[in-house]
Amino acid sequence: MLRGVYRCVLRWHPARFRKRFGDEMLSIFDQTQGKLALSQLVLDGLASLTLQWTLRRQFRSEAPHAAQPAAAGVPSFVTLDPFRPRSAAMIHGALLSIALFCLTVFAIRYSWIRLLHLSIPQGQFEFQPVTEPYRAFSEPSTKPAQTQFDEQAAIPPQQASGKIHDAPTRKPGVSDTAQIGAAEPATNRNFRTPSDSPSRKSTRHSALQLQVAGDTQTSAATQSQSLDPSERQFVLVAVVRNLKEHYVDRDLAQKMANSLLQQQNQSNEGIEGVAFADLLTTQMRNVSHDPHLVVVYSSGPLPHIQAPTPESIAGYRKALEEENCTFKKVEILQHNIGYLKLDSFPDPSICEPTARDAMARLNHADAVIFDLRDNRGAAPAMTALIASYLFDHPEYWYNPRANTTEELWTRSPVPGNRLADKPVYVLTSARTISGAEQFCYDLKMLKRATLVGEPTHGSAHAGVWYRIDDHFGMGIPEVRSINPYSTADWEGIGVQPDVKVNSAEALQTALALAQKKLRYK
Amino acid sequence: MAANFQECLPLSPATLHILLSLAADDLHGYAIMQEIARHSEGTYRIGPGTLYDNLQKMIKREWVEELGRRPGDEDPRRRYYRLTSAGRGVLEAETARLAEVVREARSRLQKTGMAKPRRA
Repeated sequence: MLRGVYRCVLRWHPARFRKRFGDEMLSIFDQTQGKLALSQLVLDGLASLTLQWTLRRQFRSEAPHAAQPAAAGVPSFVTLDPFRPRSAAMIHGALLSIALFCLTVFAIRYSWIRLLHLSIPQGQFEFQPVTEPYRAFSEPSTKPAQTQFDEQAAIPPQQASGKIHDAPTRKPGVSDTAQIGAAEPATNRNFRTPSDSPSRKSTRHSALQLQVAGDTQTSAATQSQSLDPSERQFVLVAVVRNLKEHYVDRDLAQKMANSLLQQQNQSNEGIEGVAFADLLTTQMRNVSHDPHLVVVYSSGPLPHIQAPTPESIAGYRKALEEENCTFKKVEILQHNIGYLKLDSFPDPSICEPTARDAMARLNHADAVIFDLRDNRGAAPAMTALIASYLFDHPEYWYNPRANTTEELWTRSPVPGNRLADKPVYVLTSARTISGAEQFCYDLKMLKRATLVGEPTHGSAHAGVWYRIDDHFGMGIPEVRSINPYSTADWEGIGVQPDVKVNSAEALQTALALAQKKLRYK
Repeated sequence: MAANFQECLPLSPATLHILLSLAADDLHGYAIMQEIARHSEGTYRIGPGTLYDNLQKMIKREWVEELGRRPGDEDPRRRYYRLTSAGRGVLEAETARLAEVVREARSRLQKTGMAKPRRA
């Protein structure tokens, strides 16, 4: 190793000196025995290096090149000025360039959000404060009622306000008894997308076969039926109306509406519900290129949302508490690696103490593994709360479901926290969905965690659900969220793991990675 | 010529020892280092950095000339160096200067020893 160091020192000498004496100096080094003597030679080399660059300038200047006489008929060039930039100047220039580049990148990284934020007038959005409880629930029946679209089952009803709507039902009274899961704990959600679907097509949402909880006739829900013209027309009109009324970009909504209406005359005779939903989704996306727009068909009756009662809210709270807020396991594994299995990101207004207690138990771990393989997502505020422990300064916490005007930041640093610089691993699977995907995506973009497992489900749920009739509904983004990472979010594609393994092997893989990292730390 | 050498005096210890090493024979760098250690009885040693820095200066002043490599040497990277007549002149001038210093020092020490006042 010392020889390598010595060669390196020799290489840094002025070229003229190095060419003349470098080989001989290395020859002397090779003949010298003993570590002490060799170390002294390295020090001697460093002293020589300093001397050559500081006090021996006169030896570094090259003799001017003599002009070569040109052969007859051969053009020759003579440089009158023998100046060549010094190597040290070149190194200084390179270092300065790198420093300036880093500074520029840093400035862009930490300033553009605010610049963009200033450029967007807040009044442009139909911003509905979350502090306005039950607004949508209390609207008359001619206005949309509530239906759960997002996997926000663990968000209390008052925070889900304005997120989910029913269009006027075509057949009033049908399925009115269906209870929706907004006021239910996460395990009792009424709507659930197929958790093990391997499909990653962009139009996957429109082909979702919604499953009604408690409906034992699940096989019926997978069947699609031909639509009669009047039903197609009704759905089309409802889709157009919802777009015009609720889509975040009104101009684009008008263009989509025009496109949908223009294409309605095309032959759709005998088209089935799923195919029709797919068609409408494709037509909307062709105009808007917005993957969060979707029309969904369910052969089973889509339930209505009813306003939550104080009893249902109390039941929701109790169920969460009985489930320990879905904090399934908090353990310290071998080699002092912390392990947290979390099956949702529940509402912090109920579960913040539980979350803080869990993170406190991991506080002295040398690395942390978050097991989100069965995590159904939910409250963005909880994802930010837990992420707060992983940073020593506030980080912008991107949420595709909120207006950029509603900035969410981690609450870092957390007093007494020791995890801000510890390695973090997140286990993922195709069942990791919604808010859990936000946790994965943001940590990945911030380069704060290594994702181990399978690509996540691919549902950003950046839309509000509108029930059209018993079989059709649609998701419409009502917010404009600017992605600071200039990449697509995970809608339809999932968050890709850094280390792709079968989800069943993710824990062992992450443990091995953590142990390896800790060993070489 | 001698007057010119006077301008270069006194020599640094490293320069003096290198010139002394080359006075008897043509040597390569490693041999010069060993010869310096030998004739100073281990009290003075120089590293290759100091050696070649001084050789660079001495070659420039034409006190030492480079002979190049010798075929059949155990390490083909070695180059040999020889004292030039100018280098020998500098060495002689420095030796004479040092001899004068030594003579003067001895003379003064002897006088000081005789005139040293006795303590009561």
